[in-house]
Formats: sequence, C-alpha cells, structure tokens
Amino acid sequence: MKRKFLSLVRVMAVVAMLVAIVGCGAKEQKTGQSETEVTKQGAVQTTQQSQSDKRIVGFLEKNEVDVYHVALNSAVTKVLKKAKSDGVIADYFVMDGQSDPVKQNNQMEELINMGCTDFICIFAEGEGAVPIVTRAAELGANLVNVDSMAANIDDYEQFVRVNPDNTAASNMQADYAMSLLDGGGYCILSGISGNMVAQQRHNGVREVLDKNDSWKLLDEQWADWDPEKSVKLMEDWLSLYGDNLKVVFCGNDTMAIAAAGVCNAAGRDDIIVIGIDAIESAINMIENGEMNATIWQDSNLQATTAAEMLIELIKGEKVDHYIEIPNTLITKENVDKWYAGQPE
Amino acid sequence: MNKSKLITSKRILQLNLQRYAIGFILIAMIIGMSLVSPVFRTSGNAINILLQVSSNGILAIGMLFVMVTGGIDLSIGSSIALTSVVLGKMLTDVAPGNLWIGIMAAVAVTVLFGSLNGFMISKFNMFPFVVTLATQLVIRGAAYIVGQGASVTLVSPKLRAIGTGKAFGTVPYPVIIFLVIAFIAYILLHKTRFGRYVYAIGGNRLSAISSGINVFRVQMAAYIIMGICAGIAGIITTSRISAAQPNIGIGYETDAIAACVIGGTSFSGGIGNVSGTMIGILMIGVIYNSMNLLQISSYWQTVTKGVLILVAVLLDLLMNKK
Repeated sequence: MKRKFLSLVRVMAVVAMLVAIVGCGAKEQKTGQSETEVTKQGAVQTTQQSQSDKRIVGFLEKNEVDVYHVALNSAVTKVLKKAKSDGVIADYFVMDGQSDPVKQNNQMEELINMGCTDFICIFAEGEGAVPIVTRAAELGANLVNVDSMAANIDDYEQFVRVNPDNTAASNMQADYAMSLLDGGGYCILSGISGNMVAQQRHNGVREVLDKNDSWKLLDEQWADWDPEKSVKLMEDWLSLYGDNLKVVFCGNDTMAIAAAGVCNAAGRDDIIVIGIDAIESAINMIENGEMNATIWQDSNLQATTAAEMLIELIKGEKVDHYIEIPNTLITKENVDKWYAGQPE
Repeated sequence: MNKSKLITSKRILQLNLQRYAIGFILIAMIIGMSLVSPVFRTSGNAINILLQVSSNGILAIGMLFVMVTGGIDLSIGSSIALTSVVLGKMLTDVAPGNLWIGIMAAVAVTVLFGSLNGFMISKFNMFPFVVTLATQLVIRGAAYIVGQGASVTLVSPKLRAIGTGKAFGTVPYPVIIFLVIAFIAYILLHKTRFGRYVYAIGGNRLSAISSGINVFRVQMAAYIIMGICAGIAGIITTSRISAAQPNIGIGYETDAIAACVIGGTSFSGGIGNVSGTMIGILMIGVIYNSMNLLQISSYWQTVTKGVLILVAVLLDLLMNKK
C-alpha cells in the first residue's frame, strides 16, 4: 500500500515539475526575451526587438549516414555558416531525420520552438513531409526543399524546390545503354519501395525500354539501397540469366558498386552496370573500368544553390519556384567534369 | 522479527530505491536542461516532448504487459506500418470518408497479429523473441503488399485532428490518449486479478499453472493488449504525418523496450510497473529533445540510448541479484 502510494507520489512530483517548468516557460515566452541573444557586431539595439529582424534557419536533414546525403548536408551547412558569420542570419540549427518522416515532423516543431523563421529541408518521405510544408506556410516562413520533394511542395508557389529530375536521370541511364547496345536482357536494382526517389529512378528505365521490343526486362527488385541485398540479387541473376543479361540499371551508386563487384569477380565484365549519384567510390571504379557509368546530380551544386536561394528569400528577393539541377552522364571519358565540380 | 520478513522489507526498499533513482535522475535532467537551455524552459517545448513520446509511450505500455509475462514483442514497429497502410487503404479505396470504420479495421488487423503472436507463444510454448522476430518480417511484408509499396497522402481533416488537434487549445489529443491508456493500464495491471495473473506468469510460470491460472488466456491477452496499443500508436503516427507509409516504424520496438527496461521492468518477467515505464518514456523523450536543443550529433543520441539501456539493465541485475 505504502509502496504504491510512494510510486504515485513520485510520478506526481515529476508531473508537478513539468507543470512548474511550463508555467515559468509560459512567462518566458510572453516577454520574448532570450539570454542567448548577443549581437555579433555590437550594434546598438533598438528597444523594440522585432521578431522579423532575427532570422534563424532550421535545416531538416534526411539522414547523416548515407554518403550522398552527407555530401548534401555539408554543402548546405557551409553556406549557412557563412551567412551566419556575415550576419545575414542570426543562427541556424540542424536536425537529423534518420530517414524517418515521423521524426522530421517532430523536429519541425522543435525547430519552431527554437525560434526558426526559415527552413531548408531534405525530406525522408514525400507524403510524410506534407504537414511540415503546410506548417511552414502557416507560419509565413520561407522554405527551400532540396533533393527529395514533399508531395505538396508545388502547391506553395512562395516556396522553392531545388532538385534533379530523377525520372529523367533514369531515362538517361536507359538512353546510354541503348547507345551501347541494340538490345538485350536487363535487370533493375531499385531503392526502398514506397520512396518517391526510388520509384522515379525505377520508372524512368521502364519508360524508355518498355517501348523497345529488342530490350527484355529479366527482373526488377527492390534492394532498399542496400549493397548486401544487391550482392545477393546480382549473384542470383548471374546464375539465372547467364549470358542473356546485358545491362544492370541501379537506383544508386551504393547498389551499383556492389553489383559491379559481383559481375567483375564472376568474370562478367561485359555486363553494363549503371548507377546514379556519382559518389567518389563509383567514380573511382568508372576510372578503373570496373563500372560503366553513373548519373551525376551534382549534390554540391544542388545543396549550395538551395541554401543560397534561402538566403535570397530571407533578404526579400524573388526566386523561381523550381530550380532544376541538370543530370549529367559520367563515363570514363568525362570523369574530369566530375572532378571539376567537387568542393575544395 | 523473523528472517523472511526482514528479506521482504529489504527487497521492497531495494525496489523503491531503484525506482526512486530513475525518478530522481529524470528530475535532475529536467532541472539541468532548464538551467542550460532557455528553449527547454518554454511551455511549447514541454508540450512538444509530451507529444513526441505519446505514440512511443503507448507502445511501451503495451510492451510492459508483454514483458511482465516474461515475453517480448519485436513486431510492433512493423505493426505501426501495417496500421498506417490499412488505414490509408480504407480511407482511399474501401470506405472513403468513414474514419471510424478505417480506424477499427486498422486496429482489428494489429489485434489479429497480436493474437497470432500470443497463440504461438502460449499454445506451442515458442520463444517470444523468435516468434515476434518472424512476425516482424511477415507484418512488414504485409504492409508493403497491402499498399503495393506506395505511400499515400491522407487529406481527411478528421484524421488530421487526432494527431494534431488540441484540447483546450493546449493539450494535444495524442497526449490525452496516452494518459488515458496509461491510466487504464495502471488499473488493469495493479488493481485487477488479471494484473496479478500477469505478474504471476512472469514470476514463475509453473507455479502459476499449478495455482490454476489460465496461462494461455492471460498470455494471449497480454499480446492482444500489445496489438491494440500498436494499432492506436499507428493511427496517431499516421495522423501526424498525414500519410499512409509502409516503411515507418523501423526500430520503434527498441524505444518501447528501452522505456520499459529503464522504468524497472525485468526481462526475466514478473517485475515492472506503469509509473516506472512512464518515467522511462519521459526520460527517453527528454534526452532526445535535450540533445536536439543542444545540437549534439544524432550519432551520440544513438550511443546514449544504448548506454542508458545498459545502465538500466545493470541496475536491474544488481538490485535483483539478492
């Protein structure tokens, strides 16, 4: 009896603590003061510190574990860091979405609580991002969507999206294969089923090759962007289809590298392996002749442009709603183009 | 005073000490963060924490029942996804506009899988870890099959209201749902005969059988409760992101188990309580929120959660050794 009473008291104490904090916090918010407010240039502060003067950028990352996204993230934070030191923005905060749309929705609320007035976002899922974009619109904030788009981003003309056309990227993969061969059997390794980017990178290949009778789809599988799954699938395909298999289209380089490794080890370097993303390890393999090609979507350009566009919006400039990042086919012949586009 | 009485009160003190320790650690963390971060002190942030832990909290409450019987359920993350997809299917194809039919269908599906888990574990005495590891895959696959891998935006304003609406303009509905479920769980587990049976099975299964407890029924009930909780959590999650997605919920079982363990629930069964679990869930929420506010890398968040579980399990072992 006493034990249960004590445990109840304990829980009540914690709840009371939270309520007390909320009570103090509510007062804090009303005065609008914050201890962390320090002007960098030591300029004279007007007594009325209007909220609109202080721009804080919130950056929603998709994840911090994928090579492609790590590159996107660092390009964005580079621009934000400079904007902060130049005094254009007061501060910026970064959140790792861990590829979870639920977490990103939660993090959006956290960023808003932390005082963010403008947002730059790489969304984990197109559909799950819808409430985030709506929320930004409600606040009258600026939002720039990089790479993975929210399903409703085009409903808001005041927002900007900077991304490559992933369907066009896989169209390019198919066109390249057609430039090398007249026809043959092919397989497709795709990302996570249900993910918009994965779907687009898959559909583009089918779009082009379904029209052509000399090309035969042998198999298509969702390998979840996972190299291990790709290895297993590639090994199975080699035994199943043998010489009939001419081309393997991969939704990203991580899977392409794995697939190319399997083909080469089995002595099948005749198989054309094409990826997307142009990550460094893929470029190295292309240079060595171990992989055929990849599609470069210049993540550096994409992320830098996106962050710069957000700064423009903050300054009050008008920006186009859709800024398309071009897709570039990278083969052994033009790798130097890729090198030229890399950050210092 | 005879020896057995001495051991009992010492044991109670040890249990209390462990539980107090967790509660005090949480209070210390809240005080610490309040001093360090002005944003942490705001009402918006406190409500945010409560909102964020709501769906995981509901999962943790369900997991508590399962763990007290000495079992575990690894399939709840997948259940969240299946709930989401089923709800989406109902609202777009089968019964558009009828939210409650959709919700009932979604929860019915998770209850079905909960029963399946419970049946295999109780009837055939299979290891819960193995069974739910398998159903985790089956359910995830089912989520992909039902939606054909696609994600769907759900525009129903009634659905949105569940996850984003607020009572009295301040308390989000998911928080209220969580507190109601926690209260019901408290009554069930601590105030009813059924609750005592749950502890009995976890404490000593053979003794429970000898005492005439219908172990099969009670265990089934525990996994069905877990299924119901997973269904409700899935609906709240779906509402918050306004989308039916087959690839959400990955790893959510880890958070639920962690919350239970931190709150004093033992893997061996027979030990655990609702208030401890709630403190565990709050602690995880406060830690995540604090690390976000302090802009500590998410890599460290993952490490911290693991360390927390280790510490909690060590505490559990040390306290329960005597």
